[in-house]
Amino acid sequence: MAQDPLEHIADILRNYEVRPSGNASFEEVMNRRKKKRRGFFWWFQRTGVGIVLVGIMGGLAYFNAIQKSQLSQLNTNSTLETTSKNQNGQTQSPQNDSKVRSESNKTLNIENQNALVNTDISPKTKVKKANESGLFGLFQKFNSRRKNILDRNPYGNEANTNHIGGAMSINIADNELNQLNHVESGSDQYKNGGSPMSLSNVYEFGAKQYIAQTYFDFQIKEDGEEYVDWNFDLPSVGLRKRKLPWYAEFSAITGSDNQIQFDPEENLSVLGTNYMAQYQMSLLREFKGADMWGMGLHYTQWVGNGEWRKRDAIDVWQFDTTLIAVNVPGLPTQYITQLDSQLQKQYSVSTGRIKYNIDKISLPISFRGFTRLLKTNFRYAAQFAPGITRITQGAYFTPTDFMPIERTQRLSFGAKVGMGPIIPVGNGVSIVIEPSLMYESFMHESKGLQGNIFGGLGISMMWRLK
Amino acid sequence: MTDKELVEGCIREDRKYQKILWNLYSSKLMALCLRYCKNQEEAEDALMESFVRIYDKMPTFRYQSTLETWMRRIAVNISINKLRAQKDIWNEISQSEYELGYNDNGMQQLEAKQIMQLIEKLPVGYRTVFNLFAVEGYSHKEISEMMGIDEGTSRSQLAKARKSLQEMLEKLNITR
Repeated sequence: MAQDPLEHIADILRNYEVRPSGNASFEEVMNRRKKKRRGFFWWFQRTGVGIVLVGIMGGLAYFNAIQKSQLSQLNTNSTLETTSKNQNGQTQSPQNDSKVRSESNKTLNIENQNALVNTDISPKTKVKKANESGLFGLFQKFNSRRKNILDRNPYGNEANTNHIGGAMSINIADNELNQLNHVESGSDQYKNGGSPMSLSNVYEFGAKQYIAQTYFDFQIKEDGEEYVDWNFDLPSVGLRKRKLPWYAEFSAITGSDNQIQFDPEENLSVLGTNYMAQYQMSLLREFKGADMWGMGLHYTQWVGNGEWRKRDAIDVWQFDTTLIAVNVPGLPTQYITQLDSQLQKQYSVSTGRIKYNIDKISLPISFRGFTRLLKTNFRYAAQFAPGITRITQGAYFTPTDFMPIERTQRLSFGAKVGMGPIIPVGNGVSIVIEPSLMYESFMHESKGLQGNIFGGLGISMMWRLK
Repeated sequence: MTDKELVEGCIREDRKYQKILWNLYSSKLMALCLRYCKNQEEAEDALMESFVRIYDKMPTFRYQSTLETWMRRIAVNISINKLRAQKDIWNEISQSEYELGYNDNGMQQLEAKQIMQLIEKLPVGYRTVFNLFAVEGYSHKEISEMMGIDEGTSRSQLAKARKSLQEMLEKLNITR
């Protein structure tokens, strides 16, 4: 029987051997391993140096900020000075305006725009020098540039602006726009070589680029015919439908429920603490809207330790005897004993220790949802878990009662609601720290459903499966 | 020497065993890297990188496959990573083309070296899918995940590779 041609080729190629040249040798491999290990430590050192540098830069910035606050007084004085000059009748001619603009293009002093309205150069220079010092000035320049681009007049007409600083900022914005290739620099409408644009143009281009790369596997050039004529009317290549992912979740949670005092109104009451610890493994699937539903398995250990107090009331007769003296003139004093009694309640108090231990296995039906609050991603969870108790020992207690658990295997129910921040820790792996409210219960053979509500804290790891 | 002894020796970082592993498998893995990389230099780089990874990851070898299969997978992954940096290696063809099927029978008459030469002449995209599918035994689904392409693209690349090989064989006059 003839061998499959592909299999034949595969066999030949699998067993084919080519001796590497002298460049690739065992020694070279070992050297690479050494370098790789060294590289790790080097990275560590570099990170350390980086942290120190960032610290120094931060310190400098802080120092400059303090310096800036000290200089603000000087800026205010300059403003007053220039205003008074203006009131003395100096007007700003277009020539002066262009002079100032050209000066300001050189200096990029756009920090105190209001302070420089219709002023001459000398006080401005004073202010400029104060502001340009150090990193603070640098940050200010950067922020002003960014602001100018965002706030830019769409028609690029700086003549409408009376502020020298404003004119400068538009000039700067124009310069920046000219550097970008998105604009039609030859347009008659925009004599300065700019054209209306906003950051949304950039984002729109980015979105197109993303779609082109992701779904159609090519890149759009930022200029030229390909960009101008580009549209989505491409050959019949369908967008890939996103597969809804599956997630595995592992979680551990613990909670407690305290009965903090004996009930004085009851003959029998219990003071104690109930604890629970739960370990859960679930498989969840994401549905539309990023909500998840799933099922899993959890094991719960539920224990209680306490002290019971029994107050038995006893009715006791209390007898009071009163001696009454009868004094009749001329006769000796006579005494009469009057007997009286009353029924009184007395209590005998007995106490004892009590504890129980219940192990449960349940099948939780889980829901997970996600939201964003205060710039933090949160996950909220709810689940209902029917199951059975596996091991029961001791006597279960409530605040006013306790009951021996006689049958080991009983139906049980559990439920949980919780919400906590979700923290991504790796590729497809997230951790959730989740304060929760839990209800654990079981069906007692004679007293019916018994349970506790626990407040607790859990940690979950969610792992996205392929 | 068994695979187990080799693996344990390498885990102990015993240079003797590491050298034996190199001597045993470097030629096979070099041939593998050559099939994926564009030239000898890049293939040697991929080979050395693969061995670095193999020595580093040896403690994670679980004997779920043979040692050679495991090493080949590492070498394939590293070679593929190098390919990923290259763009425009995929040329789409329509669905109908890869359903036609082509006759590979001429290949049976060729020696290994000739087959290697023919495969080297294939465009990178065709060659990669052909190697992964036909030689390494990956499914189209696995290839699509490894390369970040659609299953359809993988199939079309394989079909194109077969067609190109067939044409080359016809030129050599060795088809039936």
